[in-house]
Amino acid sequence: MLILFFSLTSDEILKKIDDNFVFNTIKANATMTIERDGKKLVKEFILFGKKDGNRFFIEFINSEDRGVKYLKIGNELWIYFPDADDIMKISGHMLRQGMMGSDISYEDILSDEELRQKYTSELKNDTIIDDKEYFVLELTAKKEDVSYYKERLIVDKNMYAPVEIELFTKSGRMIKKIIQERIKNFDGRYFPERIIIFDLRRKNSKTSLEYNELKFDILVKDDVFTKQNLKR
Amino acid sequence: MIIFFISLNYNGYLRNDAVLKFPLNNYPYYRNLMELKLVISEKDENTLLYLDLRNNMLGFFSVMNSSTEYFFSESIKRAFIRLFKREYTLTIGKQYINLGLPVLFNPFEIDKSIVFTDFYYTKEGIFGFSSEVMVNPESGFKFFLKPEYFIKNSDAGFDLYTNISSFDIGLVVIRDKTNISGGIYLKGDLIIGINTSNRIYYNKLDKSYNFESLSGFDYSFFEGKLFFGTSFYYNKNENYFGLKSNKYLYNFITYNQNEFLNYSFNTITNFDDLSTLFISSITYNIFEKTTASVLSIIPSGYGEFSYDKFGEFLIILRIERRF
Repeated sequence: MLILFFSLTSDEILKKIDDNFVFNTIKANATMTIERDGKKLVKEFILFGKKDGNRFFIEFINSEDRGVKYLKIGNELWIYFPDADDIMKISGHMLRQGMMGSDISYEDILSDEELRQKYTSELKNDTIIDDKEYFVLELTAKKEDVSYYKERLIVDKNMYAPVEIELFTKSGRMIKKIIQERIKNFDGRYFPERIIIFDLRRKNSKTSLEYNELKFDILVKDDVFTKQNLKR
Repeated sequence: MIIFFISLNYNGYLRNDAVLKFPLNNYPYYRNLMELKLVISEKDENTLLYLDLRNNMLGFFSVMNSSTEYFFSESIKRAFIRLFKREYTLTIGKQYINLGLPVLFNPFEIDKSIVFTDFYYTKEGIFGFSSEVMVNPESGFKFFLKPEYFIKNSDAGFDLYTNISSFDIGLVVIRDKTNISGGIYLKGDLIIGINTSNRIYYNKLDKSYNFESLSGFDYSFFEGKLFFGTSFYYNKNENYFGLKSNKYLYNFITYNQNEFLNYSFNTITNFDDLSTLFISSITYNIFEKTTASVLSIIPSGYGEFSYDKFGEFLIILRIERRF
């Protein structure tokens, strides 16, 4: 009997991960929970995204932030404040700040490049978590100007979706850890319904993002991604 | 009818300011200002209805003569209907009309009112009509009209804006009963954030030309936690908006330790006499939707902001519950 063993290269695994996470359009309704030292803030928002033109639009709908909106086009970001009925451009140096005080920076949201474009990859020994085997990938940035110089991904072998991501600086310091839970199949795409982000530079801090509704590659009109739409 | 009111969105805050004042020629006294802000809104695909109501209760408590006085007031800051289609937006009613950049001393601000020390300051809406026409996602044309009984007393203006090489750039023209103004503004990044707004205005009454300018920069460290900026304001006209000088320097530093705790420190310096107001605040999130802040205003120097001319310094404890 001839048995053929196919083993994927690290680049092939990374491509499958990108295929899961890169989409043409997205529409989501999400709850963001920011926790620090036992305190909690809960925010709800609706998100629209479009790969073409690197665009997204977020509208907060929880009562205390109702009407605050974000528009991203390319690498630029504007915020609309309903209290002033006015729009402000976010300075580039502020993009590393956490959005609405969370552990998710504007740059995390702005980043829409495929991992293969930004990183070279290396496949490490598999790891076992709860009797299940996972790929371990180590990624190193091709360029200096990325938010995280190195990434370590623990990847589900069936779904090709990372269940854990560790983010490092160039000096090797781990600064963020991301746990991805409830990975579900959305028309052939495996995507987490719950993402928990730990900013390790902050003590007792985490932000969780829970998608209540998630749709990929549906029709999202270009009118959504305009400065005029911020005031609507 | 009941279903209609239930379907509306309600949000706002209840805020209490406990103010301790230390006047120059009197004993310290305490006053309390409670404000309820209620925003009622309703939006569908083509329409936004918006109502911004305020209810205030101001109380004075004097220890010296054991007297207590209360004053109540209600106001509607904004009440408008906004209609929108793909290409344009129309807003009719009492609204905020914003041209230029949303910064202190904005030369293009309509009904400008600069009160350095008013922690309660809330812009008053303007009755009028405004429209915004989309040219492309980052470019457009804003127009406003603030009508008066006599047309010649009406205010009108436009702001033609776009984005070029990551800079928001705009051209503004405003005509009001006193002045005809034109100018440009821009905000963008050259490693640091920079902004400038410059306006030339012609005074129809004394037939003089004047110039107003605001330029500043900002930068941040520690991934945006420590944010600082500085702006210099100049107006050729020395008697403008009741300002005592035509040159001011405004600095701010904010440190956002996290979403639950932040510090801010501001200075406003009269550039003629170098007197300075120090304005600081610490805001702490006590629990979800509720914050406590301690704010202070301290005058210093020998000019406009000296204690003997400014007249007082004050400390405020603010508790705010958003809903």
